[in-house]
Amino acid sequence: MWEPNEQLLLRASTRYRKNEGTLFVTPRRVAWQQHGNPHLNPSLLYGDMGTLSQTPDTSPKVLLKISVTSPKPKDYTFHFISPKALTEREAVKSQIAELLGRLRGSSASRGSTPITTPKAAPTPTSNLNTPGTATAASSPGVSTPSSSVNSPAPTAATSSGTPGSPHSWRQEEFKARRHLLSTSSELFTLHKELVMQDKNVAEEEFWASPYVKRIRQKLNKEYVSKEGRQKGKSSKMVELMPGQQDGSDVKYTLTSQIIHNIFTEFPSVKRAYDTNVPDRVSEQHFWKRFLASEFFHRSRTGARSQMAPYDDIFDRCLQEEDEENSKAPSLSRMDKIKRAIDLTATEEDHIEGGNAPDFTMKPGGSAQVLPLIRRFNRHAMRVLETPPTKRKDPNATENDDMEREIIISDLQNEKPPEKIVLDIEDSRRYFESQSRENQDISVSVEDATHLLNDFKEDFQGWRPDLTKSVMEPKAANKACLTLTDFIKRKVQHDQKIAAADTKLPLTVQQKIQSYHSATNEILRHFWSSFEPYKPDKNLRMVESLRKQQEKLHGLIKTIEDMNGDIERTKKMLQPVMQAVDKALETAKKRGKKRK
Amino acid sequence: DSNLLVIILDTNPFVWAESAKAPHTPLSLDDALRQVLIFINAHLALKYNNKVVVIASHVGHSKFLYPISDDEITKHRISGERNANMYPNFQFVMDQIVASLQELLSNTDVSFLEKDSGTSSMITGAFSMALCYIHRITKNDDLGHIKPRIMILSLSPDSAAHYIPLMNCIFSAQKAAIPVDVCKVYGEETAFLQQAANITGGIYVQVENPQSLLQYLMFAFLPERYARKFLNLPNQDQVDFRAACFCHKKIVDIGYVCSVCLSIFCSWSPVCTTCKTKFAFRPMVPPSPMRGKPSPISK
Repeated sequence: MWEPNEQLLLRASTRYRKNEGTLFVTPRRVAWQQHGNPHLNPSLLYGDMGTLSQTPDTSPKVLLKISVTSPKPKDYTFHFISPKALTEREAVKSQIAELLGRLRGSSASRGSTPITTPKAAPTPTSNLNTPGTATAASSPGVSTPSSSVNSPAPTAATSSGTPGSPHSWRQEEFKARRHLLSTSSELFTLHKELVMQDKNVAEEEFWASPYVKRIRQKLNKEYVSKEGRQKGKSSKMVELMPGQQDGSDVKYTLTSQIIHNIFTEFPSVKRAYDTNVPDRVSEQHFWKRFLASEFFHRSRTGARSQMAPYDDIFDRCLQEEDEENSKAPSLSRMDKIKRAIDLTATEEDHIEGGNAPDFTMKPGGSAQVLPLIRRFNRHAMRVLETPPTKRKDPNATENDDMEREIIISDLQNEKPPEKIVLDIEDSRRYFESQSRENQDISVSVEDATHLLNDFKEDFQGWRPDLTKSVMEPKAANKACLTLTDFIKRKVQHDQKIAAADTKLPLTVQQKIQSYHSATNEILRHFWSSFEPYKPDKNLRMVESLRKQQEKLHGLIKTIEDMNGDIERTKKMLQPVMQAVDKALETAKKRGKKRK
Repeated sequence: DSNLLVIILDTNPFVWAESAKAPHTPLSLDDALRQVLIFINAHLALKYNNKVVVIASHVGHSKFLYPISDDEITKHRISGERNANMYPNFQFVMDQIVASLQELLSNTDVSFLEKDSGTSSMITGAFSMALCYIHRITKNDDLGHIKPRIMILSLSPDSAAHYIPLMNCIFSAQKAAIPVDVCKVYGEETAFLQQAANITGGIYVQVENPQSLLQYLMFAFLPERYARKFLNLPNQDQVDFRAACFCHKKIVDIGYVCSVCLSIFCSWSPVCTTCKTKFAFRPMVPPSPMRGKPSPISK
C-alpha cells in the first residue's frame, strides 16, 4: 500500500469511473483509493505523467484529467464532489504541477508542464538569455527527462543551474555557436545573409541544415553540438564551507545542487526532511536547525562538544548515522560471483603460489578510524553505484555474457567480404568501344604466304643506299610548312587561353561567392521543404528566391562600379540562376495543381 | 647526358603492302627504312654518347633489331666490311638492323594467323620490351646520366584485345617519366596511342605525305628531352577522350551507364549486354539537362 515514510500532501474526495473514493497526493505519486477498498488503484507516478487538463471553472462538473504516457497512454479523469470542489481541484492541480516541475528539474516559476484548459492557454516562458532564438526549440531541452535528476530537488534557494540539466546544455550550445560564428568567416557571412539581413531562414533551421552541420564538423570537432551528452555526478564529498563571516553571524549558501548532494550523502537527513517538511517545520527553519546542529558540526572523534543544543530531529539523524557506522557493511552474497573475476576458479593453476586471501588485509584494525573509513567507503559506493542494466536479450545465457566480455572483436578473423562476381562474357567487346570499327585485315592463308614470300625476296640482298636522295625538296618544304603551321596555331591558342584566364579582383570574387552560397542555401531549404511539403516554410523560400533574383541586379551594378567583368560574372552565376528559375517554376506549377 | 632513343618500328607486312599500294603517296618498307636509318644516324650524330635501340613489332611477336647479342651476330654472318665513306658507328648500326630485319622477314610463316591476334601488330609486346630494356639500362647506370625516350612508328590500327596491356605499359611509362612519341605514318588515327603520347608528355604527329617522312622525323622527333623544354614542337593536343557507346560504337555525350560494369549505352535496354544484369523497372523519361542513370537490382 503506502510506502514507508510516504507523506500525504493532499487529499480530496473524488469520483473515478462512477465510484466514490479519495484522491491522495504524495511526493511520490498520485493515488486514488475507492471507499471501502484498501488498494490504491490507480496509482500514477510523476515520471509517467504527461499532461493535466481540467474543465473550465464555470462548468457544473469539476473534472481533472491526468494523462499518462507510460506504460500505455491512458487518461484518468477524476470528478471532485465535495462542496469545496473547485478549491480542492485547484490545490491538487497546483501541487501536482509543482511536483512534476520539480521532478523535471526546472523551477516552478517556469511552468513548463503544459496545463491546458479550454479557456486559458498558458505558454511556457523561457528565460534563455541569447539573441533571438525560437522558443519552440526549448521544449526538446525540457523534455530530456527526469533521468538527470533522481529525486525531486526542492528549489529552495538560488538559481536553477543544475549541471547536466537541459538548461545548461542550451547555454553550452549557444556558446559554441557564438564561437563558430566568430571564427569562421564563411559561416558568418552565410549566417548574416540568411538570418540577419533578410530574415529568410529561422535560426534553428539554419543550424539544423546538414550543410552547416558538415561545416561545423570540419571546423572543430569539439564544438559539434553536445546534444544529449551529459556529465555524470561529481565524486566530491559534501563540503559546506561558511560563505561569509561577520562576527557571530555565519552565512551559508545552499543551492539546490548542494541540497541534492546532502540528500544523497546522508539518507538520514533526507528521511528527516521528508517527514518533517512542510508539515511540522518550514523549509527555512529546517535548514537553519541543520546548520546549527551537532550533526553538522560533529568532530571526527565522535565526542559531543559542550556547546551543542539538543535538537530532536538531528539527534535522531546522528544516532542513525552512528549506528550505521558501527555496523560492518553487509557482505554481499558470496555464492554468485561473476566468473570473469572469480579467482577461485583458477585455483588449480596456482597451487604453489597459492590463492589464499591476503592475511595482512584485516579490516577494522584501528577502532578509532573505523567509522570514518566506513563513511568514506559508503560514499564511494554511492558514487559508483549504477542501476542494474536490463538484459537486452532475455534469452542470452550466462555463457553469452562471458563471451561478450572475453572475446575481442579486433582479434578475430575477418569474414571474407561477400561479393558478387562481375561476369563479363565477352571482355573483348568491352574494349572495342575505344577503337573504331573492326579493322583487322582479313587475309586468307594463301595470300598471306604469297605476300610474305614477296617480302622475303625483296629484302634478301637489300642494301640501303643512303647516299641517294630521299625526297624531292618541294615535298620536304611542304612538310616543313605544314608542321610550322601546326605549331603556330597551337601557340596562338595557348596564348589566348592564358590571356582569358585573368582573375577578377578579389572583392568582386568575394561578393559573387557569398551571393552564390546564400542562394544555394536558400535553394536547399526550398527543396527540403518541397517534398514532403511544408507550406509556410516553402512559401517563405519562394519569397526569398524572388528577392535573390532582384539582388542579382544590384550585385551586377556594384561590380560594374568596381570595373569588373560583367560578362564573366554573369557566366559564373548562370547555373545558380538557372536553378533558381527552375525552382520558381516548380513552385508555380505546384500552386496551379493545387488550385 | 646521354640520350637513349628506343624506336619501335611497325613491320607488319600486310599493312606495309597496303601502304605501298596507297594511291597518292605510296611508301614501301624499304623506302621508309632508308629514311628511318638516316634519322637514326642523325640522332647518333648529335652527341657522341647518344644511344639507340630498335625493336620491330611484327605480326604475332616482336624482336630486337638493334642491339643484338654477339651469338646472333656470328649466326647471321653480318659482314664487317668497312666502307671508307661512312662513319663506322653508323655502318655498324645499319648493318645490324638490316641483317636482323632480313632474318625476321625470312623466318615468318603463317602460323600467326591461327592465333587470336590475327594480323595485328604486336605493339604492346614491343612496348613492354622497350620499357624493360630502359629499366635495365637505368639500373646499371650509376651516374644517372641516361635520358630515355620511346618513339613509335605506327601504321596499323589499334587492336582492342591489347587494350589492357597497352594501357598498363602507358601508365608504367608515365610513372617512369619516359615520353612516348608517336608518328602515324599510314592509317587512321589511333585513340590509344594518342592517349599514350598525351599522358606521358610525348608528341603525336600524323604524317600527311609519307614520302617526306624523313622531314617529319627530323623536324619533330629529333630534339632531345632537354631541348624540348625550349622548343615548340608540333603536337596534336586535342585527344579524343569521348566515350563511344557499346552497341553502335558512336560517340555519345549523354547516355545510359550500367552501374555494375560501367558500360555505356546510347539507349535504354532492360539487360546490360556485357554483364547480363537485369534492370527490372521502367526507365525514366530523360529530361534534357539531366543525365539518366538507372541503377540495377543486383542479382
